Amino acid sequence: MQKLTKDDIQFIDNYLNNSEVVFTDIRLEMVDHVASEIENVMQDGDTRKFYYVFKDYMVKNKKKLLENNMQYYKNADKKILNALVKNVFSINAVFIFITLFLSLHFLNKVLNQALFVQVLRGLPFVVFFLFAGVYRFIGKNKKDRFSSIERIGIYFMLIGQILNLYFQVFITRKTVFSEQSIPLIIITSFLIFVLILLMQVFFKFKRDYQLKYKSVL
Amino acid sequence: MGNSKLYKGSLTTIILKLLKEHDKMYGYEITQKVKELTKGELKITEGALYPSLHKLEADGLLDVEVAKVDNRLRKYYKLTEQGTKETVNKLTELQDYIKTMQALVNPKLLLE
Repeated sequence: MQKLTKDDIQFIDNYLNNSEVVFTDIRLEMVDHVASEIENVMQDGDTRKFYYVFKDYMVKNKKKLLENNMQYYKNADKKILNALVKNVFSINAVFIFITLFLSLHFLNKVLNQALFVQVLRGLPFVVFFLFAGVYRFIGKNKKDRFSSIERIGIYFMLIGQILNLYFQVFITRKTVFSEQSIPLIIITSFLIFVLILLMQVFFKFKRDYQLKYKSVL
Repeated sequence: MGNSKLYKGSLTTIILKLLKEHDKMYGYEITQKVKELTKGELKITEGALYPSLHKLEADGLLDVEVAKVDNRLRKYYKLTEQGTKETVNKLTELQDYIKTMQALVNPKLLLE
């Protein structure tokens, strides 16, 4: 059976990349699908050069091939949420949350109120920027982009917005703080807790992709 | 595809059933196998197949393995333990559905 050359495969890969199939985990199987179909057509007696068979295939099938592109984002979201939910109900997660809560509670006892308010204001943002930085520099790779890893960025942005809202609405109001220090400690612990879980999911996906796609990375 | 709307709801069951019978399969292989088994009556489009495979993977029913084959990378899918259990449930559901439909469309067949 006639097989396509490396250059032919690269051509299909570039074409799909330029057609906005940007994620490596999705594109590589589309490349394989298109290449398998072209090889099949050639096997059945089409003697034309690769480029002409490819062009015909794309004219007939491009729409079908790309029609459900948005569905991949939904699937990536589902994967992230499933992993987050799985992590939330682990002993590790309970330990993290309790440690965060007790640490903040302890700081509330030993620090004066003004300083503790600064801690509540600053800590979630410090953790957020630290994790977002790690995600930006380790997670994003222009050459090989993976759907679930890129999608985690949306969740970081979402938590960033929640932190901003939290800062504006609660922490800046001293009266609210003095009346509700325990609920605010719980909310702050929870926000940092979610950031930690998201980071754990990110590292898990990163490891999984490195393991499964080691031939492209 | 004869009537794509009628087949659409059964796509995941078809994929799971094929993967139950074969250790691992890649996307194009699934489309060809379905075409062969149904004598060309059912043709799964790429646009429907790959999102379904990714959904099953996100649900934890399929696991993925990537291998280099013929100058390119190929993504193989195989059932997880949870996927094997779910296949049995899905097939039972589909068989019940077929029976119900048969009772509605052709009640005589059930009486014979």
